[in-house]
Amino acid sequence: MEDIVIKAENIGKYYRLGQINTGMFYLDAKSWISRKLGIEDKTLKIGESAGDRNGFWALDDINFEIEQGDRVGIIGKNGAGKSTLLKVISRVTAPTKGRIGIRGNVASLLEVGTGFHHDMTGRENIYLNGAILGMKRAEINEKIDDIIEFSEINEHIDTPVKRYSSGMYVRLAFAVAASLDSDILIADEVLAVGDAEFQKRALGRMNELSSRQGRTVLFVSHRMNAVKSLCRTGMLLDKGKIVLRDEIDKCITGYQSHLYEKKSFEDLSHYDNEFFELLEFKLVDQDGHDLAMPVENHDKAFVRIELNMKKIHHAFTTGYAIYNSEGILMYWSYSVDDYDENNNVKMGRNVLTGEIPNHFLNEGEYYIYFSASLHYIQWLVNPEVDSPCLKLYVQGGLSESPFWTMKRPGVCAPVLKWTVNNSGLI
Amino acid sequence: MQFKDSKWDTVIEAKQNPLSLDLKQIIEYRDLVILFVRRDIATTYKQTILGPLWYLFQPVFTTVMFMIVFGHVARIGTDDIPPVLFYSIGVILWSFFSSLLMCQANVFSSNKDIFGKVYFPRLTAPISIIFSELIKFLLQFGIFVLIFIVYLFNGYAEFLSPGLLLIPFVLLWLIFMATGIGLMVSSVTTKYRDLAKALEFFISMFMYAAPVVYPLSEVSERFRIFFVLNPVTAVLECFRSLCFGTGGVSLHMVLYSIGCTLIFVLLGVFLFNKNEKVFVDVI
Repeated sequence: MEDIVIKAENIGKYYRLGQINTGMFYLDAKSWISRKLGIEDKTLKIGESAGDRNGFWALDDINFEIEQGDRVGIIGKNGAGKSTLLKVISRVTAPTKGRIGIRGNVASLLEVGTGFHHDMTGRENIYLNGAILGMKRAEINEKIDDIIEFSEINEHIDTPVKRYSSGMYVRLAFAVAASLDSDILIADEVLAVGDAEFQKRALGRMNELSSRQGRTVLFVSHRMNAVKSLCRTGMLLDKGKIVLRDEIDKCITGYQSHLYEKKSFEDLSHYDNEFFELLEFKLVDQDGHDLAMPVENHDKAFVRIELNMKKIHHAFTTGYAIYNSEGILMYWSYSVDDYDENNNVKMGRNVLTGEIPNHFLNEGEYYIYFSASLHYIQWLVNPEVDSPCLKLYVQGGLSESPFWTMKRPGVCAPVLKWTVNNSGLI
Repeated sequence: MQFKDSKWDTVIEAKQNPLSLDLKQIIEYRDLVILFVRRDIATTYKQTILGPLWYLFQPVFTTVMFMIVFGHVARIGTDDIPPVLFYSIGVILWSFFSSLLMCQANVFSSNKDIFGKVYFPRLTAPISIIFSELIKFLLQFGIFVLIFIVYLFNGYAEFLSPGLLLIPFVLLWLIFMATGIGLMVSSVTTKYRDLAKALEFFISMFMYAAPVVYPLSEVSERFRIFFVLNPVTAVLECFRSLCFGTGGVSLHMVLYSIGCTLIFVLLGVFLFNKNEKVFVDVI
């Protein structure tokens, strides 16, 4: 009990969905008065009910304890509440309910380079940025040589940062943040910037901070390798709730299998709204049969969506979003992308079939989420929030070439056209 | 509850005292205030020809303009105060008041990048604004002091009075009023951005509704009540009467204006504290 440094009890954070207000005082006042009087709110858009504005719980009854010196990886898919949780702990935004007790001071690396002023020199910015992060002037004086050395800026330190390359900028910002003497370090996707060499160094530095100096680290990243190498325990979030709090390996496995199991098809009735009813969402092969897994990369595969349309809206779109196993969005695809007047959905039963490109995805697991919206008006089913999910497993058939039969690094693995011209050349 | 005991350094809760100033924390972050002030001062006139000299040109030229337009063309009286002194102090005080108010009103939007990313006591931002505006003001005030001294030695020795020692308090009063109003507005401008534009316009109109280019004594009895109800009037008149021993400011006006100032500051801090917790989700 003595070495608990963070204790959260019943943390909840409520967000209003979409626009917070109409942005115009007159309309807000009108909407407010309508609600008070219980008459129809005329500021709502067509098809929007007052409930849509009400929003959702980004964090829902979160309870946890973190021990001193622990390195905790917070994982979960987009929209699970990871960043919101870090924002609440670092006091950037207040929770809607609940309490958090913290022992020691907290430093957050929510985004490197926060508060840099372009017209000021590197040195001036070290002081400003350091102070924003909570350092005293004397502390910075003591550390400035180390910071400059770690950032490798050296002779450019007295040049305004607007003349820096983006690499220099990030290195300087990270160097300042990494020099913080905080008991608890919060890092959100800090490694998403900079080149590979810098990322390696930054990760090493964070490792050193936590293992040698006994600091507590909370780390959010979509890169499972980074999480695995840095963290000891994990916290798996889904839809604002903690679903697993265990060793990091178990959490990562849990994350990957959790994504898959997330939706079984018994509850498709859940996706029934005033515009449509989702009858079927599945992967099929060329002949319309259920797709057998794994799929070879040259096999034809299709996403099949069957809808019963109840109301036609000119801005209606549907399709899918596909993520890889690290949670990176590969692409969105809508049926209206391949635009054709005759291709629109009609009242009643519609079957939409979308092809998954051959020789585009790499080997591995993919998660395909159903998506439907009134374009630029509102989500009907948001693939990032609450949507049925299909798992696609791609293995083999990477190319017809004898040189490429095994998985290569890379997010995608396209077979591209090459020409070799050697006739007539000396 | 176990949260009450002393083992936690920080307790984050959904609701916090909206009038708390958390002075202890702000003092802890005093270096940040200093650096914010330095940033504001140093970067305003980077890559300009005249640099900080602009601070001095603005009041000098405006004073000359006002002397010509209101003194010579419109022939508005100045309570027998030498026009250059009368207009310059009006211009300098007004520009301090209006620019302080505007900066406070925009405190959220101009700091949204940092506010959204890291925690530090948010009140450091309005406090640093006060200091950077005060520095600009003191530079400009220096011009007035020079002219004032010249007049002291040229037949206006009666201007030298113990009342001059009260000037810092009047300044403090003006600072609190501008900051209070500014912070009140700032919590609304995060939601409705056009209010910042509207405010700019109102302030420039408002100058004519306050005794900046004319003394209160020039206002006819019928309209005087509107000027007396304007809390800025008392501050400006007080300042002039301390410097020149003139003006028609009454104790009632002073007390009324100080009362307004207190309400503005309390309400401003209250709204600021309420807003800083959630504005990240709004802006």
